[in-house]
Amino acid sequence: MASRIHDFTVTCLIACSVLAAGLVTAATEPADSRRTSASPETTSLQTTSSSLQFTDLEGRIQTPLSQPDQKATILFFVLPDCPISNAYAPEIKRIATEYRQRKIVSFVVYVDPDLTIDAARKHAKDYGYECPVICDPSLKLVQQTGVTIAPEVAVLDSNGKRLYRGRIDNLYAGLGKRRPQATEHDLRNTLDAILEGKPVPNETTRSIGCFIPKPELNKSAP
Amino acid sequence: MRLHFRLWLVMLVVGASSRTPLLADATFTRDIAPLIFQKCTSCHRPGEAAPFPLQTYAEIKKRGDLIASVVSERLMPPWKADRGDAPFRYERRLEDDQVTLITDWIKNGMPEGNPADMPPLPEFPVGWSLGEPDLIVKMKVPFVVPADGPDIYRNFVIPLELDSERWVTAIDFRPSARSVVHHSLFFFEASGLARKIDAEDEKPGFKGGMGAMARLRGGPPVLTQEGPETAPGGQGRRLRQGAGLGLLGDQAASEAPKFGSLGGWALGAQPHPLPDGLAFRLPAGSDLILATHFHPSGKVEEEASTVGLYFTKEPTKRRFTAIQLPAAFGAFKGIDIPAGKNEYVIEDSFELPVDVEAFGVGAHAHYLGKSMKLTATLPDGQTQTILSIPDWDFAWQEQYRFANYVKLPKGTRLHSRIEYDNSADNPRNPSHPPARVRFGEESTNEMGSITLQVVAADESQMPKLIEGYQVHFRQSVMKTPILKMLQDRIRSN
Repeated sequence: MASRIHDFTVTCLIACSVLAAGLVTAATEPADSRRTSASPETTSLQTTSSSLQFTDLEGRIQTPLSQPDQKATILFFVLPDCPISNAYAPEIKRIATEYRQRKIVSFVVYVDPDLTIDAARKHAKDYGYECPVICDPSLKLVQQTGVTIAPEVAVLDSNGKRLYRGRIDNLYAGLGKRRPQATEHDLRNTLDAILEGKPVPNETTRSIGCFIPKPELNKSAP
Repeated sequence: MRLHFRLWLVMLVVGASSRTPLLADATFTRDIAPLIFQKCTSCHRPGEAAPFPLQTYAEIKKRGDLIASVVSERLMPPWKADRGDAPFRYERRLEDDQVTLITDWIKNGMPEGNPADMPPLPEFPVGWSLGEPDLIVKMKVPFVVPADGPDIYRNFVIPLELDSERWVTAIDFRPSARSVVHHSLFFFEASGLARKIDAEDEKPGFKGGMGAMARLRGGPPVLTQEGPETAPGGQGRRLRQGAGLGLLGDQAASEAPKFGSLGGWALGAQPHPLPDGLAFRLPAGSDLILATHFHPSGKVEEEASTVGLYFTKEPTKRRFTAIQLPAAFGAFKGIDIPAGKNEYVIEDSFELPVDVEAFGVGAHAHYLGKSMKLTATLPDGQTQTILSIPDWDFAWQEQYRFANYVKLPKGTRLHSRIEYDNSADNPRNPSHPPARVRFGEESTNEMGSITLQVVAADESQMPKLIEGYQVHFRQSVMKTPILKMLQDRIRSN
């Protein structure tokens, strides 16, 4: 009885999060039982819509979910008015540069539905992002990867399958609780494991930062 | 066990949904906007320090989840002190029922309500909020704050060119790079020493922290480290003793002091004049020192602060002084916190020799500070909480003002208690893994004290108050395990 209630709860959570994400493709596989809890992270939508196309701030067409000649793809989800997100800009740039040489490509993704292209360009210039920068006003990549926080990252394999979702490192122990320096470098550890052909240490971690606006609040979402 | 937990969770969810929320009908225009405008918008508006504006329904609704988190965790509005027995003036704290009002409204989907209920935006001051200052000065050369790295403490020296003594009732501080300036403490220095130290390197200002303050003060009776950064000649370390026995920001000395406090500014604070005509004494020829704390923001910024000073027309009629417990930021307490220790306490007590009236209080510790408490046990045995900060955060060093003078009769025993957490569970711990920490001025050392700003109830009793505190200070020195401290210092080098 208890386990039926449990299963029902999980099914509801999956259904709710799929509905909330506005997706009807029902491309769900059973949620990973190790991380079923009352959190909405049980969506397993990694393999859908790998053809999603974006025009980056330089005007180039990008398909961040399909990078067949790369070993992996990092999506850095950022919000330009979130101080924690901004504070990570130097580390995002370092990681993007260091791992590009090792065939891992990075994209910075702005996830503010109200951000104009001009404001995005100014912010990207101010913070010196050198990797491709994408605006995702309808939060398609947010829905695809299951991120909820900025800054948060998703690491995908060359087919767009999600290998990691979560924090860059543990610089913040909580909102308003910044460590003098990070002591656990989750994203770097994940990337190193991928390059060495090992399983990633943690498939998900909890990111600290600002909430990404919810898709259902955003009328322009498809 | 896990199944039980889930069952419980299901029951909780079902239970919660069948209950009518307390404030289900709260609307933005009628209930939320007035509260946000009053508590948040003075900083959360264009041109101010907060990272985004909170002025419209759309702006607030968009950040609903974040607002719910930060008000529930009491991170915002920034206000670290618990409510004690003496109410504070300019309190930014939300009441518990105000937090519930906001979080319930967010849970209910943030209904906007009737547009006719919408209050107008308050008229926030444009420019100098206390009117045109008597003196406006600015940092001549901007200081470059790097994009990332640890926090930076830097002291900037600004000549005031005053040919006569003034009395400062308020200071308004206007940073140019609001995203990186976190707080600034103000001091004056009248002997030219600050300028000399400033000239020791090319960059504007000089390295901050309490070590720098000790140099300016002429040194508290503790060992002052003078490393290569502040002493290019490599003088090493020397014992500075004796000169700094005066009170912090001592406004009561008859002879003009050479160094003292002029208050401070922290994010979120508005400038306020001292109450009741009180004023800081500012000797002729003083330089203004801004001891500024920077948080790198992710991009390079340049800071050139502008400062407005407000003077009283005549010298203050009532002098004030500071009672710091423990004295000298805990220098005589033999602070020595073992690595991993999560509850290390220092305490100090002082019995008031005269009737006093307190008007302000502030606390200081570094990153291991965990909780702070100052109590007053009155002669009748009744104990009052003067200041309690249950979750000390070095980043928010508020100078608290009381709503009214707190009357503390002669014989009242003030007692301060400061607790430190040197375990790995303290995310602000500067050492990873934790390391043994002793007293010192650097942010990797610790200090700690609570400072009460007071006037004597009867002005003529001021000398007796000062003398009483000086006796306490000397007794504190005598109790120092000084030999042990010296040995430790030598061994650690």
